[in-house]
Amino acid sequence: MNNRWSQFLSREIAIEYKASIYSICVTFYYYIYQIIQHSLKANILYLMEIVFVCYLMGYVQVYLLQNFDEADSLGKKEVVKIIICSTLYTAISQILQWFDSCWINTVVFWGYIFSCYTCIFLINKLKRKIDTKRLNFLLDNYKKQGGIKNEEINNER
Amino acid sequence: MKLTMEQIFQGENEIIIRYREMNKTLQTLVEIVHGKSRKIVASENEKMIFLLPEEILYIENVDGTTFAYTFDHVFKLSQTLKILTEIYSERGFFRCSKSMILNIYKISNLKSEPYSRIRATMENGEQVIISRKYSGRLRQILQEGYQDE
Repeated sequence: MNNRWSQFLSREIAIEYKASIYSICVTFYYYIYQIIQHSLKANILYLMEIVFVCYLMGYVQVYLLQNFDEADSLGKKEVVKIIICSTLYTAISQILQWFDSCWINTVVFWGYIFSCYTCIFLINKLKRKIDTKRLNFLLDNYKKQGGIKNEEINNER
Repeated sequence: MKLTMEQIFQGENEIIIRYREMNKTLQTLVEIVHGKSRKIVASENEKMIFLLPEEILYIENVDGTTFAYTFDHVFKLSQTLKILTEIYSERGFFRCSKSMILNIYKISNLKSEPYSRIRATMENGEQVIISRKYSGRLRQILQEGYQDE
């Protein structure tokens, strides 16, 4: 497969993954908000908007903001990018009127999105840490076992 | 050592080694002819050298030429990456990109990176990024090694 094509695919998969996670987060918030408003009904149009917005934000994160939620460490740059994205989400939620436009709703939603970004960053980091540990465990075993195999090959010769 | 080469037009290719005493270089030559050689024929400044696969950290193809990197030397190889991977895969040689082979035994540690990539730190401190395309194969090799045990 062409290298550029595989890079493109790889980014698209990352966007797909982000869109899924963040749309679940926003949709969950929307459900809770509706329940608090004493309503068990959800607006399908809003749900579709949430999914589209999350896709759009996935593109912004990967192509413009260097995929910051999968960065190695949470530095100043990453925090600024989290603030930018949380603000964008909040602004869009106000424009599309997902929630009432009172300031408490705005602040709570902004805080919720900010905490979602922070949690997803930590989860990604933890996932890679566990994977790294496993990879090194397998590498050590491979080396140990390989040493025995090499001796066998040498003896045969 | 005197080298005599003679072109023939009939019969099988033949190598005759005339020696007073068998030495390491001749022994390696014999192993190469018998196809049993563990050593890789390399050259440095036009001088022929026999390298053990265990000495090599990684092999890279630069502009169509293959180079083997050890701790302190770079050697030119005549074989292609494809052939080297086929012959020495059981010695831990792993194709980590279109233009590179890593010796798994010379990796000091691995680090999981975003997009399913893996960062390999070699024993000399050099770092190599293994893309998603090749990292899956590395995981499979390591996993199979573990299961064999």
